Amino acid sequence: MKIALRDVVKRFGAVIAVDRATLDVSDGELFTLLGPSGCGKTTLLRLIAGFSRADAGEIWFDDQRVEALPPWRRHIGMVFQNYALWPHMTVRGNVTYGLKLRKLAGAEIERRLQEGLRKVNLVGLEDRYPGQLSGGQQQRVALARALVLNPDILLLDEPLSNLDAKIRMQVRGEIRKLQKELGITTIYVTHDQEEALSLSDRVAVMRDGVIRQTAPPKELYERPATRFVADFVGVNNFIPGVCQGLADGHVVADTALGRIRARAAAMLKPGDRCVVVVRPENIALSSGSENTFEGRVVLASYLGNTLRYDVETNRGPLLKVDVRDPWHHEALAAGQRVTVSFPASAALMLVDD
Amino acid sequence: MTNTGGGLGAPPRTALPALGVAAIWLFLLVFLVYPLARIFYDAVTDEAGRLTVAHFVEFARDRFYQRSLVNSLLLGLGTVAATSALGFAIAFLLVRYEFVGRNLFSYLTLIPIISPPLVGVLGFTFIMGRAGTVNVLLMDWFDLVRPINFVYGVHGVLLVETLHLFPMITLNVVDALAKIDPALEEAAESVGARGWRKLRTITLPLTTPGYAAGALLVFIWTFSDFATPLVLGVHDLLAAQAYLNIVQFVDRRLFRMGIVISALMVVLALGFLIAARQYVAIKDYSSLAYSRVARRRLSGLRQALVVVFLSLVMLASFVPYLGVALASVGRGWSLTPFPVQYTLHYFERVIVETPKYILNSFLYSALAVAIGIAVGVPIAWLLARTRIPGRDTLDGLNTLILAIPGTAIGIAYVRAFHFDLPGLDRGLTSFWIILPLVLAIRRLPYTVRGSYASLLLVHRSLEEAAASVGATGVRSFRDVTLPLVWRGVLVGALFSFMTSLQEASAVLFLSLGGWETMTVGIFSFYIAGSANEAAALGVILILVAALSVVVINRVAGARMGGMFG
Amino acid sequence: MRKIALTVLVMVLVALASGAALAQAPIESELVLITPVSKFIHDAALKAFADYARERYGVTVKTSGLPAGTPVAYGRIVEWKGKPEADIFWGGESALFEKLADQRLLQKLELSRELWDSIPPAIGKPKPIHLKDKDGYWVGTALEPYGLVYHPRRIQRLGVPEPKDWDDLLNPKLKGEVAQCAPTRSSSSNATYEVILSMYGEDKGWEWLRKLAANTGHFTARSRDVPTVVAKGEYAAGFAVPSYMAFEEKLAGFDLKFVAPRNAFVTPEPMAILAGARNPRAARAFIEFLLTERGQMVFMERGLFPITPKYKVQGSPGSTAELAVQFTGGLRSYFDTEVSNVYDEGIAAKRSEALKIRFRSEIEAVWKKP
Repeated sequence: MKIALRDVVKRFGAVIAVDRATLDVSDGELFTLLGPSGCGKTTLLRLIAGFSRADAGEIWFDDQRVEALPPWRRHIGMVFQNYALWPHMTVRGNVTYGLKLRKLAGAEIERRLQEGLRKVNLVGLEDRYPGQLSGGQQQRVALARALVLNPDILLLDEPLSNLDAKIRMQVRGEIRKLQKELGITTIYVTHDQEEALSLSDRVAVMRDGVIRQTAPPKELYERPATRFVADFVGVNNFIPGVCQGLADGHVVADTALGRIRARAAAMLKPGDRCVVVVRPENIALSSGSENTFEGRVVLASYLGNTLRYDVETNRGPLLKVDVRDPWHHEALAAGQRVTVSFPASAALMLVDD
Repeated sequence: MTNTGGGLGAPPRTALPALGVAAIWLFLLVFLVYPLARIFYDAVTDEAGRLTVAHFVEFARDRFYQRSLVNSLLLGLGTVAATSALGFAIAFLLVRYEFVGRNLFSYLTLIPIISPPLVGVLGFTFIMGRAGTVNVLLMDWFDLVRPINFVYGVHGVLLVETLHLFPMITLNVVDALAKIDPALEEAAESVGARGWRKLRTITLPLTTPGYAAGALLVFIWTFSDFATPLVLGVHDLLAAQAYLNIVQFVDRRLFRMGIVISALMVVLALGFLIAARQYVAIKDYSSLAYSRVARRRLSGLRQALVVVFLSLVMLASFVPYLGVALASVGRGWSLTPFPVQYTLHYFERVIVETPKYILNSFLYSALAVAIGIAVGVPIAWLLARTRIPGRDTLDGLNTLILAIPGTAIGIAYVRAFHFDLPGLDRGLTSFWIILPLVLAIRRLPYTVRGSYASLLLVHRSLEEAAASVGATGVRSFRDVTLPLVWRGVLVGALFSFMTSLQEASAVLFLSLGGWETMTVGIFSFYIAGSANEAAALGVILILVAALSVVVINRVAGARMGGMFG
Repeated sequence: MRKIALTVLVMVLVALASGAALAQAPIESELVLITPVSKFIHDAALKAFADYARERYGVTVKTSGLPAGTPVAYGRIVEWKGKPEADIFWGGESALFEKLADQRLLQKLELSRELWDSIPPAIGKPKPIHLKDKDGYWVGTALEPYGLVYHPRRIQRLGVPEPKDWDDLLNPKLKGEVAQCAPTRSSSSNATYEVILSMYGEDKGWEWLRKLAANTGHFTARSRDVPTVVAKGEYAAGFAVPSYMAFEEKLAGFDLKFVAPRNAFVTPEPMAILAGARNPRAARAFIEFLLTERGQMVFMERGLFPITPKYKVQGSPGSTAELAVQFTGGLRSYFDTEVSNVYDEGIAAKRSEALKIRFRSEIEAVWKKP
């Protein structure tokens, strides 16, 4: 099932929660809505689910418009942030509730229950109440409940946010695996960039109700379109400046750090305000052919697989520099003078939003 | 009341003065456990003090008592069913929908519950009785010879109790509904449940814990109310029989039966209480948090229907107030739709000539509240913050009070405190302090609950923070805890005060000359045939109670539901 | 501040009421009655006495009444075991007073000879109605019949002639329109049941009472409720109502009529001082006052009759006394006429338990609202 949104708008009073959202999700795709809390991602998911009505725009499931359909006509399965398991029903009750509503035969209900529980590894817990299950188990019951109805679309609203870190990783993998096996079109809402990048086919980053960028994880990571997106997917060095124009296939900007050569990721004209972003792992503690600066170490933090230096450049701005494989690296003392550099291909020049 | 708050598993950090705990236990033992034990003792002994089950055998063999038992249970269940239907419908409308006058209606819903004993049903007969306004109009318009019997009989009791008590269900269900996570219902919608199906299988079961508490109170209230059935000529109910037999001192056999019936009522009420608590304990899904609910705006026509429905219910439940108000100023009102002569004489009589009713009511209720706070706040603290031995028993006793019929506790006090006090040649029953004491015991749960709920909201770490900067237990309680919980204590206290003013059944047996409260005054005026004076006192009582409700709402923010849980 | 002052005042007053203070005066400054006689009468009597005590003794007496049905009042006096919370027991059947005297729960009245002798020992034929105790433990205070009440407009609407005799209540058109109180709860009802049984004999009497029950629409919880529900028009007629209770409703502005059919029970409203009373002098003064003309006026203006031939109900035209005479059918004194009485105290006392049991099994247990 394909999903298409065209200029969907949702307002709450004076607040525009979703502003002309347009996107296409292809059949079998795992599509993630990523953004900080309050960005409109959950609202957008609820519009797709049918729990609230859009004020304008179109929502298409394949070639059917669904804005006017109530949730139960949309063939969706939904997993809620806090799972929303009915506390007065057992696992069996929760999972088979929708099947019973469809008046299926008892044997069929039982078969689908077992099949659903097998998918999420919960066989044997049929008669437990939600209060007797761990968070991870509850999460899987919620998933099973959504899946037994064989929905066309699976909607997941921050399904992992209430789990602790270790279980989250594990369940994340299971969800991804299951989704691929079933080939079900899935929309996944999260505020966690790592989660989004690791399991999505494509990700839409939202801010203030607006979709800022839609791209596969790799592209999003390597070529964020705006400063906000870059920030949200984990870039740490932002150097504001003014665009000076093209030179040798790169753009050049004047910044507080000095002149920087970088790749252009947006349409920029000379004189435009811009921001140059560089990932810490792309900065080397040595001089290079371009973008080389002098400074001194002010802080070294050991992060296990990396060692992060905060380097104060001679011109002032602070750069974060990561050294991979700290086992084979002699740590520098604070105050030590260093030279840092990064290739123009690793620096992006973005519109400063 | 099963939540243990922030102090789970931790021993009381500050060494509690053991004396204080002992004093609380002594108070409960002397003024609650001992009197109750005394009526059970009375129920299983004869005049000579020999153990016997003869009374129970007699009860079981007596056809009239059998009928009374069955009728009481049926009436209780019937009232629960009727109040539930009405209470749920109203709660649902108030929580889930937006319509004209919603706020006003949510206020008005509280009003029926403050109708004082006896006057409410009297007011009802003035309007709906055989010679009430409605019948008079019918007779005048349709030349009816025989009036229609709206109220005399069990159906009348059911009607009066339902219109009086449905707010208990509404308050509890409103509270429960407001605490349901909307996602639970959306999840149901997403798998295809909607409308009635969703309501029946998801929404209603989720409100059951709160609802069960309200239903239990409705049941026990109806079960132990004797004034309403007696005014309506229904005698074959347990409460009515207990009352009529107990006031029958001459016939010692009947008197003993009255005590036996009271004891039986306590046992039955206890049974229902325990059943309800078991049920709620396994089904407690409620959170402390209220969810924000988006109310659905109704279409014009539906809004009109809702407003008409609610107006009709309110109108019906305001009938008693109208009747009481008219009776308090109408002279010689008979067979006319409204009184033809008006007078303030009755008010003059109850305010100017015999102000003792009002003064006594305020004095005793205020003292009862003071005792209630002195005992109740420490109990709440023990329940919320400590794991001292006997904590569960304390909790159980406190809840038990809600289930004991007022008549039973009244007669228990008469029986238990009649002996001469050492050094005095009179028993405690000869001193008026017994009235504030019985009121304090009767209303203790409200103070405890109000304080307990607030204490739960004050996280223990706040007290620990105070301790970390050097405040001792008492001092941190005074400087940190009290400022944060006073509101809950105050709401509990006000609620205790209001309901103490309204208490009749327990006080009736204990009141002596000069001690009469407003409710006793209402009874004695009524018994003396002066329904008008009774009505005038009733109006005063209603006004005071209405004022308390307004204050409680201001302080508590319309969350009165918890008080009844 | 005023609130506190008020509270203190109330506490002091209540303390006074519980007997914490004793006055040094010709009579005590307090008086408590326990009585089935309605507030309408006992409040008026207490108020008149308070005025009298102020004038006569210069003492302000704080008076109060504990209203209680006859059985309850009796029961409480027994429970008090000689340490009573009241000084005077007033009203109900004289037989109960004798039972109390036997239990030494009463003290002798010791009234002045002249006052005592002004009350004849008995009236009524063929059975006597005693007006005072031969041993001096109780004395009658006023006479009043237990009769029928009806609401003339309701009666008219139902197409029934105005009741004059007991049998008129059995009219089929009055089905469901009669109110009465159970004889197990009301001494006036009990006495009138006894009158019916004495008149018709045991078997026919019970048949008559069963027929009355079949016409009864409402068994009130208390006898005082009977005239109330009839006055309001809730029911058309009421059975076994003391004349003054009916008159009280009349004075309250209701359209209500009273009739004392033949052999209607007449009570002397006995009064006695409880043994161990805290205010014995005030109690005696109260009884003496009630037997004076001024005291008897309290009754005569409220539908009761004097206990002595010395006075007759009389007043200026339009006065409540004259209204009372009119209301009770023109009678001014029970000493002017032959009083017909079939109620035998001895039989009544013996039969009382059986009467209650039979009422419970034959009427209460089977009665269904028509």
